[in-house]
Amino acid sequence: MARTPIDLSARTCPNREERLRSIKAFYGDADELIGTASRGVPWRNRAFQQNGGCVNSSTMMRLATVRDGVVLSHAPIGCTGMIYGYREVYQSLPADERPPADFHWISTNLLERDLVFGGEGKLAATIREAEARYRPEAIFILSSCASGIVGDDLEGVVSNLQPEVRARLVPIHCEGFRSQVPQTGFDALWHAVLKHLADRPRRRQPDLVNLVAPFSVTWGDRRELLRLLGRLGLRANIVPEFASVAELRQVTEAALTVTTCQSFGDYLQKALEDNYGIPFLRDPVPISIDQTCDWLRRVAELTGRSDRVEAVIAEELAAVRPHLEALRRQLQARKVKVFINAGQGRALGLPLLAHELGLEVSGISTLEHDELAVDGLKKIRARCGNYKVHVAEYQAAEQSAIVEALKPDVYTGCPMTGAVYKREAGMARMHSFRSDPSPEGQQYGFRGAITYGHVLLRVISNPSLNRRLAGVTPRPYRRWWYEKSEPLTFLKEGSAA
Amino acid sequence: MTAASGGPQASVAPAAGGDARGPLEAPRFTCAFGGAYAAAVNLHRAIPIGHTGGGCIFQQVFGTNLAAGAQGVGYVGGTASPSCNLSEKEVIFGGADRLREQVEATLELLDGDLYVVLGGCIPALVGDDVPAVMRELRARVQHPLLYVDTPGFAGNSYQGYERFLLAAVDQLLEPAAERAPRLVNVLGVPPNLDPYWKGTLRTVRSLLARVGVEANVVFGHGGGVGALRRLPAAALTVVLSPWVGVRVARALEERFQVPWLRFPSIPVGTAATAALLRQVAERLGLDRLEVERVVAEEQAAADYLLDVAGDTVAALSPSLHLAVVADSATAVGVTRFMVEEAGFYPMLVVVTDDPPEEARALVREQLGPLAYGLTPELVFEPDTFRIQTLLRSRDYGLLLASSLEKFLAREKKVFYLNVAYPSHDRLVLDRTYAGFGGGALLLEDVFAQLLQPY
Repeated sequence: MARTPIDLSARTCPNREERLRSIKAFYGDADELIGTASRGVPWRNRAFQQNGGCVNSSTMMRLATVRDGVVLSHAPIGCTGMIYGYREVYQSLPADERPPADFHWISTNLLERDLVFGGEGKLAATIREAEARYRPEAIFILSSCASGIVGDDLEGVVSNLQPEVRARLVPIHCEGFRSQVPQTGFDALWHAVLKHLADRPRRRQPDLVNLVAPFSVTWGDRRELLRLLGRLGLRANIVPEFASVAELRQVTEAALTVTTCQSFGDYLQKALEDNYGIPFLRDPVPISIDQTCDWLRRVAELTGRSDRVEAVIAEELAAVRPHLEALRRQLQARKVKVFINAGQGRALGLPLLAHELGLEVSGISTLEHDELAVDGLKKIRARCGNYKVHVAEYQAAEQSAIVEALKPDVYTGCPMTGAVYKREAGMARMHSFRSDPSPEGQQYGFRGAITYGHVLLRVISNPSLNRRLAGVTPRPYRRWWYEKSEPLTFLKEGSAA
Repeated sequence: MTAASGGPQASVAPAAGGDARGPLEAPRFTCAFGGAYAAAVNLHRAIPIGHTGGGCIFQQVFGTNLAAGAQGVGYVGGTASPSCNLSEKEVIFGGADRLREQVEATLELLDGDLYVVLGGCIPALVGDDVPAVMRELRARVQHPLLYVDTPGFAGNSYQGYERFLLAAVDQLLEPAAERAPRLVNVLGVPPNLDPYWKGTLRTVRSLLARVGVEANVVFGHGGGVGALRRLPAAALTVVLSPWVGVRVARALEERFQVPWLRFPSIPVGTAATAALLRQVAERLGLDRLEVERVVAEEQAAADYLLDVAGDTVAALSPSLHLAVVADSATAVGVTRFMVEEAGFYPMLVVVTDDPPEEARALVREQLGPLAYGLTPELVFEPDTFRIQTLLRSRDYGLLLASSLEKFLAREKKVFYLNVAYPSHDRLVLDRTYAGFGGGALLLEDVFAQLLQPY
């Protein structure tokens, strides 16, 4: 099916409800979701909802580590709450390979009177302040619910100020309310980067690969993916995590765009193909040993390096196999069932890795479902058999009921997801999101696969803490919720977006 | 980027700072919504319901919670907190229907003692008549409901903490049948905005118990909706801050005739803690001899520890130059102990919580000439860029501050310990520097940094 090319002359991207017909509410067998994929699953709303992020929060954290840029939040001060650790948490990265981690953000700090009279004057003052303070290469200006509702004209302020400001001004339309799919923020971010920042390509760099990676891809993962691309003689242009503004600007010169997450990479990948003819690789994402091999093959094929890839893979496999087999023996003997809650890249990758490690996959909970996920779901189905799929922006109550019903031994998900892990079945929890530099955070590539296996093994070996907490912390949900065993009880049938 | 690693920039000299109304980098607070949410979610068995976009609570989960000493999500925090997740439809047509639906579903699903609707920026800007929806719901449902109008643009998170309590005063609290003569409300130690709040409140509770006074602590373990409802029954409200909670104490006085006492800091060490006990005792008319007996006993225990520390302090850091960066209550408490009891030399105090003018005068007075006439340079500054520019240009050997300063301290080759929000670098459970022995504990943690090998 031909798709509409991405139009970078538009002020911003379309919402995902329209562009990808993404949905946020489903629970059932993977077969059902795969079977309905061709005609699409309708959007449905919930009467009961829990928090889980917005378009603005999806955008902000992913720009907070651009090395010589500044995130300017045109919002009340609370909209920057998530990035308070913006500088500190990166200081412990290995000094010998770390780019300068001197990040900055600034908020217009919208107060009542600013909203009465409009925030444009304060935005202009904040842009000047950011320029004076930090001398950045780019200032990413993020709109918010408040600035959107009062109708501040970002483009107007930017075009007035750009002549006097050295930094490139990049207005991003990420009002929290604009879409019920927070991942629209990814698209808004890439749209703005391509429209306002990226260079017109002067040349094609045949050994340069754009690697789309957000903050949640750890330092260890980054190092592993750089290493693997390096073995093919490729340089990775990793964006936006730890990118410099120059690296963001040169995305238009790469030979290929690959991604660590289908959802996060999609808009950039398509926009670069549509506007600059740069091919992209969506699947597979390099999680699991098998997928990492396939990924290397596909990358080699798309960059004209097929002649050398099999030798690289053979060497890597020879190194990794003994570790994998040792882990698999130990994990298989324990008959471990795993439930995975993650964003698209990990939700579709980790089941395959779990399978390789000898675990049984009882289900996944993923943030959104759309056409980007279908191939991944099918691949898991082929390897692991049927499994449950939950589609939700977290929705801790639903996960709680699902996990209670499926009774996995390990729940692997984002911390802070409402304490599912410690109340349901006393599972061992482990992260799948970490931006820290510890080797334990690694999940991508060959080394990530082995690391993840070791952490899993360790975690299931002593679940004492969570078993104890399961016994002593009360659940907030009433008893009927678990007895009814229908996680989508509060779904409003037939409700439109 | 040159600015942060280089010196101060002419256009942004620290002297121009102190303004919390202009643009800000990483102030040590979040918005009014964030403060009210932190209060609601740390009130035992209260269920917060965000009448907001989907990201407003999420911001707090990954922001304030982690910044407040890596706090877990508890009963119904994190992504378990209910939220209307308002979108374009509600911005255009209003959010009343969505709120009604969300509150009804929340009552059905979640087991709580109080359901707290927290109104954010969207309903305030589009003009939702939330009080009308609340009236209608109250007429229909049995569960206690509270509405806190707390849009992010209304102020900082300290004010959000106050807005939560003021809403309770307005909508929930009723005059007490009789006053409890030995019950004292403790306010001014806001959940999470002070990362050490749990330990501080626990310490104050047990201190007051020693002189026969029951502390009415609303938030955290041992508090709850029952404690909230008992606020009007107390004989006294103590505010442990130059300003945070003062508006609430005044409201309790006006509405329920509860007198109040402002103690302008976290009481760190023997002098401050004894002063607090004596002031409470005087206001309640407690037996003075009995209080002095308790003070003497507690002081002796703390002094014993200070004596053990004395040799090491004298050997390693005789009157070491000190800088403090913290909210006003912490800055006053920590500085006074370090200077007047532990003998450090005060160079600079940066107060980060944007106190109102009346409270600034109080802070100036508290940090005015200290022991031996020593007076630190005192700066009120919420903005991290200006704070760090200032810190780079001053000399000191020990920096008691937030984790935002940790790496600046390393760059300057000075010692650092976290004492204030944000506390990204420690798990804070029961730690506090409040109380008679709190000063000794502070020295213990400081010297964990100073003693070699480090």
